Amino acid sequence: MQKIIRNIIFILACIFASHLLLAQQNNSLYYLNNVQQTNQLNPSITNNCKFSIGGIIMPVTGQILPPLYFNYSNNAFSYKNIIYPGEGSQSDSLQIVFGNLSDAEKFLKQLKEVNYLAFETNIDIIQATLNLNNQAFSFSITDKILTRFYYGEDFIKFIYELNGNSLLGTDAKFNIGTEFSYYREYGFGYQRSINEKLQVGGRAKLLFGKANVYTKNNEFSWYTDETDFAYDFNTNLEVNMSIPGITMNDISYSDSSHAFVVDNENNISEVDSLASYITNNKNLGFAIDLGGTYILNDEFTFYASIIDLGYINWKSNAYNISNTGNFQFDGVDIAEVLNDDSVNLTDQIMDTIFNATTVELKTGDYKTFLPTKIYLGTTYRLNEKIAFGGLIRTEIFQRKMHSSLTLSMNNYFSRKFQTSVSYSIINNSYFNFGFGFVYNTGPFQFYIVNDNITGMIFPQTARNINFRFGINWVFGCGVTNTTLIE
Amino acid sequence: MKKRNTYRLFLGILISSLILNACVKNYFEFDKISTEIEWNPSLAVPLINSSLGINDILRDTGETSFLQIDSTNLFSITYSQDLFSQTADEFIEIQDQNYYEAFSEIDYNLAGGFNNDSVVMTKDNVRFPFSVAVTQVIDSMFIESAVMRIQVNSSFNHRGKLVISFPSMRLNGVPFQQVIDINTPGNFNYDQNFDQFENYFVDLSNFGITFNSFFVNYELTLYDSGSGTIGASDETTIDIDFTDIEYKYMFGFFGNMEEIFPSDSFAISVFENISEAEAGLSDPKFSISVDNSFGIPIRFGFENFSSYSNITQVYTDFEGDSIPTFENDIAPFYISSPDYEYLQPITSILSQRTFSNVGTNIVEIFSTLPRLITYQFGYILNPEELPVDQNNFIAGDSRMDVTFDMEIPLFGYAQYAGLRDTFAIDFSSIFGDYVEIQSGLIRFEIQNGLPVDVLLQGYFLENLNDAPLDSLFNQESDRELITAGEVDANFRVDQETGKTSSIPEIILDKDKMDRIEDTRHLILWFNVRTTDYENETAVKFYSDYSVDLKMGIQIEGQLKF
Repeated sequence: MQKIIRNIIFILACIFASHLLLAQQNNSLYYLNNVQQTNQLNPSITNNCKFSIGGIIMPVTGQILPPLYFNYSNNAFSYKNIIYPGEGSQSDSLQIVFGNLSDAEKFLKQLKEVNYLAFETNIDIIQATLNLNNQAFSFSITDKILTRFYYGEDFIKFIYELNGNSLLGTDAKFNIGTEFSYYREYGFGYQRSINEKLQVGGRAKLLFGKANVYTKNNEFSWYTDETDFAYDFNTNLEVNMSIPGITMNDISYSDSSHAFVVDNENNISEVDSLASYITNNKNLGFAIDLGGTYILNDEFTFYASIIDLGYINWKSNAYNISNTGNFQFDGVDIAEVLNDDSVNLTDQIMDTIFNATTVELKTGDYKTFLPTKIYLGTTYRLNEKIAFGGLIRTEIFQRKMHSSLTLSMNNYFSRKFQTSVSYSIINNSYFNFGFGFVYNTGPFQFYIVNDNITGMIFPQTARNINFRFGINWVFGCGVTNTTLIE
Repeated sequence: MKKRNTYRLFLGILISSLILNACVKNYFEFDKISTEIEWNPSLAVPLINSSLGINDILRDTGETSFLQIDSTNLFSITYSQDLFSQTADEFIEIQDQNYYEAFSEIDYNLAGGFNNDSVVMTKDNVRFPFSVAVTQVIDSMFIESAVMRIQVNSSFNHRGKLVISFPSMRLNGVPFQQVIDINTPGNFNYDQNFDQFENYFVDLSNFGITFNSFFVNYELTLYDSGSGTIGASDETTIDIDFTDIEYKYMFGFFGNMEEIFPSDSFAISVFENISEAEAGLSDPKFSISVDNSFGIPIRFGFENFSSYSNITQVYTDFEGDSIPTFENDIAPFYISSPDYEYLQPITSILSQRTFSNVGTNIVEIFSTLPRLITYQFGYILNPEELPVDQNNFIAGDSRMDVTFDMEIPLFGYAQYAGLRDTFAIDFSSIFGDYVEIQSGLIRFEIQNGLPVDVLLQGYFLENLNDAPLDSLFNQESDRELITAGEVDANFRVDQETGKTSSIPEIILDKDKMDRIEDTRHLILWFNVRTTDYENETAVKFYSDYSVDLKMGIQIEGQLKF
């Protein structure tokens, strides 16, 4: 048994160690079994109430404390890395990182090869769970907004020092990209206890995309030769977008403004109303969540789930802008302009560079995959009221795996009150203490969960700030139907 | 006890909150954010990548129409100047002629008076001078066009008939003749124009007896109206105006006319701005070309012919046996004449006089890179030293065109310190107003395929007329030499193997940037000299010569507020 546990721990450690520590977080919620929202992270888990319902449409409670999930995540730097109190004669002012060279160099050194900045918001319009003996049914409607920006460290270096310093003679990779998605999710969940040790669950989700901007390929590198400063560009850029009300006709390089200009028709005013925008059902998608819980013995329980395995097919006002190829610029041929004073050398350079590349605009459907999350966890029950948990969360994004680790202590004080305190390694940050609790009073269940309470107290140090809260209406709650308290 | 613990806990949380709040607040007092930013961008830009042919380089110095390539691709500086053109009209213009004659009582009496109611008075072969220039002898001509006005007034109180014929002006052997019916006794007036004279042959020599003479026959017949007498003052006058005479061909001796044209000059623009140089050009050539369709012996000559150089600042006469001056009796330049075939178009003949470095001072003159050629020339018709030839001829469309050609093959050696080019430059425009240029590096990569060493210097100026703010190189010894291409035994730089490579750099440090920050103009000054100039080794410039030039700049700036 111990060998199995050791092997499992070893495998988890390898997975954890092999990936960047970046992810949207919600890990402290995972073991707060009393709240039905836990089911969103592992569909094999259900709460201890016969019936639960919540959401923004619930009268009074839905408006007083709307069920909201918000996450901010930055794997490269925290606020205090770029703005901080000065020292010495500067102690009465706030310095910015580019205020002096040494700080700027330190900042540049701490950047990762690829850096991420993400915002995520979920609003539960409705979520309901019905527990019937050994099985449970759930239904949810959730609006989800996900925004991510990512950039190579060379991009920030370029902004700060341009190409004539440390990037000289190197293949500077900018790798700038973004993903913005707004979609509505209709979830239909089912959970069942197979036997006393194993619970499984799943959720089928129907997705309706509202708007999207998606950088499918973001490769852009710029080599500047050390001797003659010649440029060598390699691009594989492809941006898909589905934006209501915008019709793009053409994209071309303008010699006068030295920029790519999109010939577009802004038909936003023709979008009849917000309702027609929200009810847009042309961008259809599907996804599933799967989960399992295995009770090994009185002490150990293992959890596994995969969330958001699916895609959205974007068809409404769908465009693809791409720029692919390799081109060099090693100077202007002055033979033709030697005797022509009217020629502006700067214009010549700009035109030569931009005319050497081709930007294509195409219309057509495209598909985006949801950022799939994989949770692997275990709990160790110390006694009837306290269990320790470990959870590795891995998110697949841009073909890369981004992991975080959360260790938690979960307290089951009563059937009305449950808390969780956690420690997480998130976004290359090792100072993240989380807290969550669930409190039932009458038919109402109040919950609030946070993975980084230190980030709320010391926002200047936080690379990750998230919280989830809301009020559920719960009925027939007992101590049964949990994996920890039997 | 429980209350006390609660109190302690509350107090602890309160104090902790205050401390924490103070810590957090320190970071978010945005009004205290310092605006000091130390941003030192460094921009590296490849500016130029060109393979400059010799034509491109010379084009930058101005007009390039003077550059020609021969069959071996050797460049030559060539100038072609049309010195003058003269047409037949300008050469010999026939003056308007007037012939007056009258019949009076004397002529009536000489004719014997009325006999059988009529009398015939005649005046044959009346000779009139055909007015031309003093020294010209016109034998004959074919008329292209002319106008003849005949005015007749008669006061005889008799009807009559006047016959005017021109025995020396014939068409197909038939003389031109007019018969005028005097039908108004006592007051007859006649005035008529005739212009159908094309192809009439006019013999002004009376069949070789004389010259410049025009003959007319008059015959007046009066018919007695009944009185049988004439008044003492009665007369018939004939006034003939022969004007606007254009000839198809003219024959004779057109005189010893000498024509000297005003002085003129032309600039050799490629040398125009050169004030300090030394050169040796191996094979410059001049030629005078005369395309002539006048059937006249002509001698062409310069009255004066000289050059002016910025380097010597003096005029130097072209001298030598082959220079066609009027004083040159050793080798005078006579213009060839065409042959005449009866009424056939005259084919012009090209005469050319070429004078080169052989027997002249042309090499000496061109070693000073003259910027101006001045000349005054003329011609002499039927020069006295030639036998008199009265078979001069000229056609109405005859002309003489004189062209002056100069060809200077780019074959020689030279040293020139004055080649310059001016560029507008404004450092503040590179990064904008908020970034101050701190230092810079200009790097060249040069593959020199020209047989020319180049030494570069530059001067930064705020205003073109002011003293320089600074120079590109502080010391003469700092100046980078761009080495000439290697010249082979055929005086040529092989563009595959003979190019030389150099990577000169210009470093603009902080001190220099401070001095030149107000620069608005950069004057680049080139010292150039041909390969192995010291030994006066000649090189040739071919059209396939090129310089591969790359230029990049690296500029470091600093943000300023």
